[in-house]
Amino acid sequence: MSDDNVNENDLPPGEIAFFGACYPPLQSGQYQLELSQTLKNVPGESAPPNFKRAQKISLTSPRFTLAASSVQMVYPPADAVGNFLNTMPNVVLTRRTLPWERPIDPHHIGLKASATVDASQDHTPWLALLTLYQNEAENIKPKQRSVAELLDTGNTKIKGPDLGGLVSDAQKQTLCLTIDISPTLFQTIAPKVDELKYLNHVRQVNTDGKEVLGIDEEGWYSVSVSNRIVKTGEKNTVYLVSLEGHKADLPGGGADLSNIDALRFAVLATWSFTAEKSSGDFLGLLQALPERGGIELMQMPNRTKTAGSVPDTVNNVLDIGYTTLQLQLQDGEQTNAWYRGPMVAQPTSRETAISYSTADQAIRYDHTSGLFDMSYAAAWQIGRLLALSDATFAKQYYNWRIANYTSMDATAESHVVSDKLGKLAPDNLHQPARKVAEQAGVQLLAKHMILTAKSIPVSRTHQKARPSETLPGVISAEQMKQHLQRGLPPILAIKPKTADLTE
Amino acid sequence: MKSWIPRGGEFAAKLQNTAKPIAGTALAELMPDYVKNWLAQARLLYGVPFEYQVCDEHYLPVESMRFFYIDRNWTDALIDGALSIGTTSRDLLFKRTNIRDIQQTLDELEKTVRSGLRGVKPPQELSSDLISGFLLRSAVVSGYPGMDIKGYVDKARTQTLPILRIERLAPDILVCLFSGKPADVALQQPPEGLHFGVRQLDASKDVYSVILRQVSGDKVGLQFEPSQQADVSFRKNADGVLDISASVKSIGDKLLSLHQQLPSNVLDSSGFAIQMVRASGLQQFTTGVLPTQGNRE
Repeated sequence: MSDDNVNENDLPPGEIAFFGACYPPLQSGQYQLELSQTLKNVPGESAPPNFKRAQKISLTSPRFTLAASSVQMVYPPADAVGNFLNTMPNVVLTRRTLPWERPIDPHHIGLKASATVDASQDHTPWLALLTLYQNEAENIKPKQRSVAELLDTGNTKIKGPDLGGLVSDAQKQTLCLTIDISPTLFQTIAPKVDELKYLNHVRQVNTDGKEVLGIDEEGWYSVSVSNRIVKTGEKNTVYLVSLEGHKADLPGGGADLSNIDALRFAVLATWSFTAEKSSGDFLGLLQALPERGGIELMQMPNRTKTAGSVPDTVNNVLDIGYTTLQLQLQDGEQTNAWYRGPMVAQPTSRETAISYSTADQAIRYDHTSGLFDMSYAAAWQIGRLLALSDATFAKQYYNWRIANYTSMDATAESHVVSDKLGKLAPDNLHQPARKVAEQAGVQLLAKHMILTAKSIPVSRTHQKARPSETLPGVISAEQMKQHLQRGLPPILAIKPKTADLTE
Repeated sequence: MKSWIPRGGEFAAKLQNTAKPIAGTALAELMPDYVKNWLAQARLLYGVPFEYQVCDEHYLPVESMRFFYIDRNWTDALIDGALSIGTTSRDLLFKRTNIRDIQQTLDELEKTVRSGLRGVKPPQELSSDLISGFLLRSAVVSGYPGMDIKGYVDKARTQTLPILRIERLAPDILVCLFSGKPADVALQQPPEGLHFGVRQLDASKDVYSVILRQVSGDKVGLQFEPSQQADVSFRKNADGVLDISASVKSIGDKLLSLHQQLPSNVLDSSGFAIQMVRASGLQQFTTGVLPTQGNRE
């Protein structure tokens, strides 16, 4: 199927279009362009002269190796561990024509006229995805070999691809990844020739608006799917191999492999993953929940309810999510206590602005059962331990708290000053004016008053006349003045001083 | 330390007055980002040891699902504890003065933790003070990482609830917190894993099938009723290898019987690919009734 008639804009976002195949105009290989021209009615020539010209061209495409960028994604993901139950691995390739670019049987083309080639082109894909289970993959060691070694294995028991001599010398020098698989295993797991077309298809996705399924950019991709489902509980290895020249070796292909120990393939991509054991698929597991663990509220299973020996009060407590845990009191006594975590079976009403000084302050006593409720005490303690265990948090929080004292002190101080100033202000000063003085210009005013009227004491802790420098918490008028001139709250001057004195 | 600031009740009153150092800005909002985010995450129980969240295994047995409300008093006590490190009596006073501010700031901040972690815009309309959620302990959690969770405000499933946290606490334990209380919860298999495979209805039987999808008409790709299945067969004496030719025929015949049009009456490779795509499962949980039958999309 060609994409000529498909308008890419037709695909709404999020939708995917599937196409059976996307054939290239010409398969890769050696071609010869021939030009002939016949000149008619040339004077003096009995027969019209005929000029011929031939030009050989070779159409190349990935053959023994595949650039990593050509692989858009693989599923199951490489090295993943997960539940891939009943999944067929697949690989998404960025080149939409890739699976059809090479003839699976290079002999088939031969030297034919172009029209004949086009009609007889074998559109069987040349790529196959082989899924190997753990015990099978153990015996297969991928190895870097030159293309020459791939084609001519040097061992009659190991059969390489039969490419009909259509490989250039330069190409033979290149390295590629190869594997040797026993014919028995290969014939067991490889798809048949007529199955290959079902295992390769083309996908178009609309990439407008969002990234769809991890596939992006141009929106056209070829997809190769394995014909084998993943084996659960072990490591699976997947090889994208080239079947070019191996058509006869496929199951039912008719090659005589009785004297062959191994078939050698070029590996274009490989990855492995581990499929975990699982008791069922997604829906099966979820639908089994009610019969197994149940879908309920966060409560302890109440075994005592049926016994009838427990008072209702206890049952009620269990209903709202509590359980009893052993509690060791500080004096060494062992007792039981109620506990429930943050996830509770009933909504709770929130107490605003609780603040405890110690964990013990958060202990509650349930007088109906005579037991302590340790829930909030435990929460408080956990919070404290979490904060302490995170050094960054502890340090930043601590510094923030300290920094706040400074600003709070300054504000508190201005309140004190404004109180004092308010008392100093004349009684007949209007209330609004007083407010302005107190709130807006308080610092300025204080500064001004201290600088001009030295007789007003702003801070006065001791009445006794002692040298102010020696008094704790007191600074001299000169220091106060300096600080206010620098725009700093006077408390900053007090602090270092008191620190000195306490030493 | 001696100070000229009056002590005692007067001091506390002054602190209360000065708790807002910048006009209109709560003190708590000026906390360092790291501290704020740390506390907001702690509100959603990040870092809280699991045995303190679920203190007994009987709360959450194997293969179970438990719905709950978050006890705000518990998380408030947790925050209060975290703010009580390195405290003198002065710091305690500071905390007591500011705890309401801090908790209120966190009330808003906890709603943006998830969007912050994901680097996306915070969701709109997060007014609910109630946090509810569920714990799921199942092989589903370990087997299907990245499952899609939705909580709906109403049973008609018209409006979704903002999700505050989805986290795997252990390989098989998942916690999900909603802002508000869901009437209906839907779990969907990770949709990004568009892949190929077959379905085994009964794990004990060796019967595999695919649920068919339309390949012609105006609803191409839409799945038929789950009962419309076609068997897929395996190659004999080959472990796990599908017999593609036989499966193609089985699926093609079944599609023809459902009046689907196939080119030359044969399923082609694109049609085969559409049938083999494994779609994601969707399971709903509704309050008050047993789980409904799962849907496939």
